[in-house]
Amino acid sequence: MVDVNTHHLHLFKFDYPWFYSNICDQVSASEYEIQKWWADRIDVTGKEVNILNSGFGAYALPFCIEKGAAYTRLIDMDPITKEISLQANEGGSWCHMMMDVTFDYKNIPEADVYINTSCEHSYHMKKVIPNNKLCVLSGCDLTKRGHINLIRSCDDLVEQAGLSKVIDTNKMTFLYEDELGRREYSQYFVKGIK
Amino acid sequence: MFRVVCAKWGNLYTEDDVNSLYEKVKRNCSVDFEFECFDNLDDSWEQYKLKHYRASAQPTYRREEIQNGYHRDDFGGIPHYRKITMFEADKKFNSNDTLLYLDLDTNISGDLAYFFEELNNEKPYLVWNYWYEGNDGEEWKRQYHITRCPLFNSSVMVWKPGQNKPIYDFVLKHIDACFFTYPSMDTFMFHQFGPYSYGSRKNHFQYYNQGIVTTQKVLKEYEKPGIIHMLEGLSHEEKKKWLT
Repeated sequence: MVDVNTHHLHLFKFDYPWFYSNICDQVSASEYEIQKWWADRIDVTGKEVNILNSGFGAYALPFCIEKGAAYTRLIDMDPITKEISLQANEGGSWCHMMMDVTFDYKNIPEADVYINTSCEHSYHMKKVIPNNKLCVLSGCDLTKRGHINLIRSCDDLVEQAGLSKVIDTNKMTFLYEDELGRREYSQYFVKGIK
Repeated sequence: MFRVVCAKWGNLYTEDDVNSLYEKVKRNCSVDFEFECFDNLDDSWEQYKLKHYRASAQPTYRREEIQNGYHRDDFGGIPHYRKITMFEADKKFNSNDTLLYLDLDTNISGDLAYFFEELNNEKPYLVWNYWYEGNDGEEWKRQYHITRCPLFNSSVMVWKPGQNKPIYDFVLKHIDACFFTYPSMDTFMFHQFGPYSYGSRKNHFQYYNQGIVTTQKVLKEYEKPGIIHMLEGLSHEEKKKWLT
């Protein structure tokens, strides 16, 4: 059972008050739904998993550990996210790598499975994910600061990554609220082979 | 040879602005220098700017806005990419030369000789935005992951010819991804050649001491402007008033 560590969340509220809304986004109910989608569909038992643009891996890492992944790499460019990740995550075989997946992909160790559920944050994954690898890609069409690659369909994900085979797709609708108001947005999912 | 260089493209700035900068430099530089404006920089990267610039109309004033579903700082396209091409165009100079680059709207308040005589040139220099480090860096740390609030400012740079060629080469190697990802040259260099960059690109630059370059954004009434006092954040018209 995935456990969001409330003790850590409480500490982060005081240690990183200016980052807390970002942390809350990463442990939101919608984020749980997004991570659970791939966790229910991929057998990671005994496999190495690379979580791209991972944030601090709030749900992704516990899912990997719970489901028996041999090793999980959380890969994210943000220095504060790394600080938080190293404090929040305990146990299991994993590491946090501070790398920009778009530009440093050649230095990412190879894995069996690649997961990126934040495709709206970055350039296309075509070069980042090696050929013949199982992957799950997800992204959304929400207008929000930092979203530089709005995903408007599952086909966007397939085309951007250059997948050779599509195994499963899905679309979910969520609500988000900020200074622009309360609004619906769509989250797209693709499981496939690069 | 000490060289003061600037760059001009498009129609936001004119020949008069270049002449005005030259006059200011002449009045404020106690060492001999050559002045040159790069007004014919390579624009072959324009196709990538056009391909990836996600706004329909180019904003002219620094305010938050949304176009085509994207926030202003997520428009991409590195609109000022021509400044990066200077790092290749500098090959025409002697490798012993020292280049001081100034934006055309630079407001000079002290002796520019500092940039030629007081720096070690082991690595190139640019402006570190010390003013974003208040409150334990709250502003820039909060926004690092969304490509905002870089601690780098390229308005005033010092380098030896060739020292910044790795930056030009990096863009050339990852040209589509660079123009897709970055809204500004400063954020690009902060992420890819700054203190949190990966491998040999990390800490490419060194920085002027605090107070050498200041900004109107945060200068208090009792504080003294630096040798260069930047007018960032002001509109073009407001800058013109300041500079005349």
